[in-house]
Amino acid sequence: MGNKINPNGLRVGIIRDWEAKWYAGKDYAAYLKEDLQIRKYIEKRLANASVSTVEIERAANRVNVSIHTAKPGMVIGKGGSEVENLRKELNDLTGKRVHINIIEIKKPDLDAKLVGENIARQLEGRVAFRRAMRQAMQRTMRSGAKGIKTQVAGRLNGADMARVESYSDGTVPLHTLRADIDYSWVEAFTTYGSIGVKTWIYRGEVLPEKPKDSKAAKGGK
Amino acid sequence: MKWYFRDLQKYSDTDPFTFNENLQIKADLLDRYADEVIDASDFKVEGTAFADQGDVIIDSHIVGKLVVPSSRSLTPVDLPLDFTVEEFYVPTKAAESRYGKDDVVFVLDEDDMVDMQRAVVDNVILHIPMHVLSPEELAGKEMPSGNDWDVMTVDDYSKQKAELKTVDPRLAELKNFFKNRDSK
Repeated sequence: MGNKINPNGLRVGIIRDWEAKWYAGKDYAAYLKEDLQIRKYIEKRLANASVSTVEIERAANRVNVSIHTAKPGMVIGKGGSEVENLRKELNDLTGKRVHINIIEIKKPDLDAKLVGENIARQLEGRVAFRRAMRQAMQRTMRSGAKGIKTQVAGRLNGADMARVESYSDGTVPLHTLRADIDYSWVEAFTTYGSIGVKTWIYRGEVLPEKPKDSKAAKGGK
Repeated sequence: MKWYFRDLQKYSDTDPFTFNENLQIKADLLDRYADEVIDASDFKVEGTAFADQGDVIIDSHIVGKLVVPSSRSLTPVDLPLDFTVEEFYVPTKAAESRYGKDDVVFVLDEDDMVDMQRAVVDNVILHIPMHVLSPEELAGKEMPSGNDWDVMTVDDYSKQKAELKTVDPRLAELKNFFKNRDSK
């Protein structure tokens, strides 16, 4: 019930970093629009490449785009053809020199977007939703997560009436700001209509670094 | 591999119904999950089915081999699969409450059939990992790179970020504030 804040947005600046890192004076609106265009283009073009996040950094007339993905092969293509084309198209789109970093995610089962997309793809492949949900939760917990919650909504297994079902394992302390909780919402497009898949993954607490010299930190005597 | 639910209900846990078959599921896998599967061997399925309080419990052991694309280079990689599955089939929605959230419970529909072939294909799809690497890639083969693009691991990326102690681009414009004073 009620409105719930996006757990990712709530933690930005506390334990999560920004996905765009640049400063602009008068060009702010143009840069922001360009960022949105880049993100939209990458999302559409790399829809099947298991892309989790896209970071954008700017320096002078240069744009650094870091694509975090579980399947770098899908981004690169055979012999690097896909990524070369992507870079050229982003160069044309922005009119700036674009550098692409492809970052391979080590543990995709701890990334909410990738877990959600995997469930969605399985639902599109007509896998029974209970099997898909249980398997996703088991894998995530086995990868070292402290908790996971998944929720699917829509005409599950092609039922006449749409409903919502959620499953959870471990803990997901949404009110704890230092709790590293990753959240995603993706859609599965099945023959019976679309099914929404929400995923929350609790990866443990992010604690501040201990000061190297505790005396100095206290103003030391 | 389809059985009537009412037939399976006749078997008890002491004298269960046993099955042992080789299934050809390649066509089904390629139809449903073409992006992730290049080839599939026949899958050996063996297990038991028995009734408990009117429900049917099926334990199965599934063994086979898939060929899937490497997530780093798209080269074909052999992926042997060997896993066990326990699933519960219940006649009514009310019976579902007897099981925990971790159990995979199916309420039977009107045709009253338990479709084991579908269960095998579903479970094989679910056992394909998100991250598959070839033996060379696992041994630490160099990451590909090209003109204005690089592939790196998360660790390398974090290390690179830590090494490049450049000014945060959000603060880069600050240097212009004291331009006049510097020139004097």
